[in-house]
Amino acid sequence: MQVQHDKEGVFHIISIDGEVDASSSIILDNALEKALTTPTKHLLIDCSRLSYISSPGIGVFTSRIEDCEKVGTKLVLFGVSDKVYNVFRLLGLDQLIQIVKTKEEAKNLAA
Amino acid sequence: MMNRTIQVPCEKNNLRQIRSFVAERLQDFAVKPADADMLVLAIDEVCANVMEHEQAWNPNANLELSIWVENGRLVFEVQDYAPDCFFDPANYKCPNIQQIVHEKRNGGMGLIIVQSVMDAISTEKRGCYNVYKFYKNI
Repeated sequence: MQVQHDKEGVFHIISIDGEVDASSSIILDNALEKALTTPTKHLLIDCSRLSYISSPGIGVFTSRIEDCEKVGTKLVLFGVSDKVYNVFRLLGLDQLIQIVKTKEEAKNLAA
Repeated sequence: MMNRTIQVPCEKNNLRQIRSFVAERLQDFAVKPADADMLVLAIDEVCANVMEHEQAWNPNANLELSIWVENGRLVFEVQDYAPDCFFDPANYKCPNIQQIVHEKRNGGMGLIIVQSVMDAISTEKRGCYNVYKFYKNI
């Protein structure tokens, strides 16, 4: 699994490529840590190449939702496949994390 | 005919091999892809739990997973050598997801997934082995 950081205007975008499970969630965790230690109000997660996620990967987000809200960082996921979305939905996290289809929608929501 | 059992050392990197094994077995049983995805996820969660909490990711310890169909149900059997510990996933009271978020936790969701996906769970101590069975109606 690999992650990539990009800046597009005010938006910090983390792109995930591959599978996030117990062995690789630390990579995603470090990526979010890095993004949140540099002040960013608009954090987008590109999941279009995320092929699988299990609970350690989901945990990277659950452990940071409150911190994002506290410092005013808008966190939005986009490009999520049905397979991955079903995991968020099963856990009820589709109600607690903003998930949209496209990057444009994500930017509009996070702006 | 594909082997119905896989045995792997309790290392994180072997979870992918387990997922591949489960996915291939479910194809043999013509399980619908969307259902298969959730079953692969649930077994990944089970195996990761056993490897972490019973074996502390010990590469010298093994986990064995078997899959078969019995009386119209898929049966997933997970066993490991664990003389000193026993966990009961069937009766584990999962935390609320809002509680997890509020407490900024990154764990505690695996068994929510397992309990949601599976139709029944049984546990057994067989000598020094813990044997967990997960059932899914098909």
